[in-house]
Amino acid sequence: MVENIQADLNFKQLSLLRKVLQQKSTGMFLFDLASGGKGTVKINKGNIIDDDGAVEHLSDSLSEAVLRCGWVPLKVTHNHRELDPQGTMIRVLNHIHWSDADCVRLKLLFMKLPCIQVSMVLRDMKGFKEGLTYLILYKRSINESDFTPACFLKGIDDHDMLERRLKVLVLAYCLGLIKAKPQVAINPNNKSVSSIVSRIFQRVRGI
Amino acid sequence: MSHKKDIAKILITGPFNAGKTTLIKFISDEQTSGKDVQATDALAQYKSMTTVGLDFGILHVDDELDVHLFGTPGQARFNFMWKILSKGALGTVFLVDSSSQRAIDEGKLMLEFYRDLSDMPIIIGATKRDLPDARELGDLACELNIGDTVIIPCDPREKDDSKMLVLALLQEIIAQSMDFDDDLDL
Repeated sequence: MVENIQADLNFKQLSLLRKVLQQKSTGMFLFDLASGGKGTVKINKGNIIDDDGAVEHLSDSLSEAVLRCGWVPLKVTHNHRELDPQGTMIRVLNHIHWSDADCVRLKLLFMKLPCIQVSMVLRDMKGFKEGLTYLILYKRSINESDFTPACFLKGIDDHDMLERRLKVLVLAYCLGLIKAKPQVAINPNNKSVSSIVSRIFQRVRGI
Repeated sequence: MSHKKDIAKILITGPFNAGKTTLIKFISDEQTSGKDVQATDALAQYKSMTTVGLDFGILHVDDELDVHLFGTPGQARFNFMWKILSKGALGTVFLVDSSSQRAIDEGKLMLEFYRDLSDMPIIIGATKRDLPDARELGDLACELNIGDTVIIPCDPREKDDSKMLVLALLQEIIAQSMDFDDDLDL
């Protein structure tokens, strides 16, 4: 399966989406799909603009690897309805299915990430079909020191299970719910607090 | 030669009958419950508080640090104690019975009270998820008006869940004191 992966296809759109959603950017996200399709999604201050086909285009952009993707900053002049990115991403991911090759592409990408910290601020857990899998990711991230996405994906060969875990990672990644685990405290005052809390953390883990 | 230990404080709070005592039992090396307190040398300083239903536990972290876990009484008439107990706390684990409308209504008011009191980190544990009237997590979050506060389904009767709640709180505290670089490019 891995040898069939075309090197020019990638999931760089995830990095771009994460960036524009996190930075609450305004502009247009463009992509050319591996299968030849293309589309655009307009975003206003990190919210998705609900114009014609926005949700479908977002779904297309996540459903397979892309040849290329890009971002054009622009001013939004019309008063369109805006969609909350979390609810929209959940709606989209609930219905996406990836090919074996795309699952492997995604798996290889996420396996490269360093230790992560996962946030549990997932308001629409009820609407997310993979809510329980998200909870597993969260629990493992706080229970295991040096937890990486690779730990979460390692040994998962079954397509459906791998797809579920990848959906959770794609959601958390694009919404900024996973972050690289920080190593350094912001200022010396906080250093002593984080040192105390880190010691308590290790102790509670060992209970 | 004995030396004075540092003490960190964590609050375990929430409306009545949400699982606070059970959580403290799992996380503590020493524990006393407000319902049946036996004063000992180590705990005598807290004896006067026991009559109002305070739960208290100590977790020995290392030779230099203990964590004191305070389970606050859940009834609103004891809100003067919530204020006293929250002073200097690292953070709060807030438990709420997700199957009880009364608990949810009280929880909402308590949560507002704690938010007004300080900006210390709070983690919400939604308990009694196995009961038929239990709210979905999203609905409960709305009813409690939690904003961006983390809410986690849990069963404090399970040791791992109790641990997870405290770890989640500690993670939030660490996150607030750390600098995140967005270096997660795929």
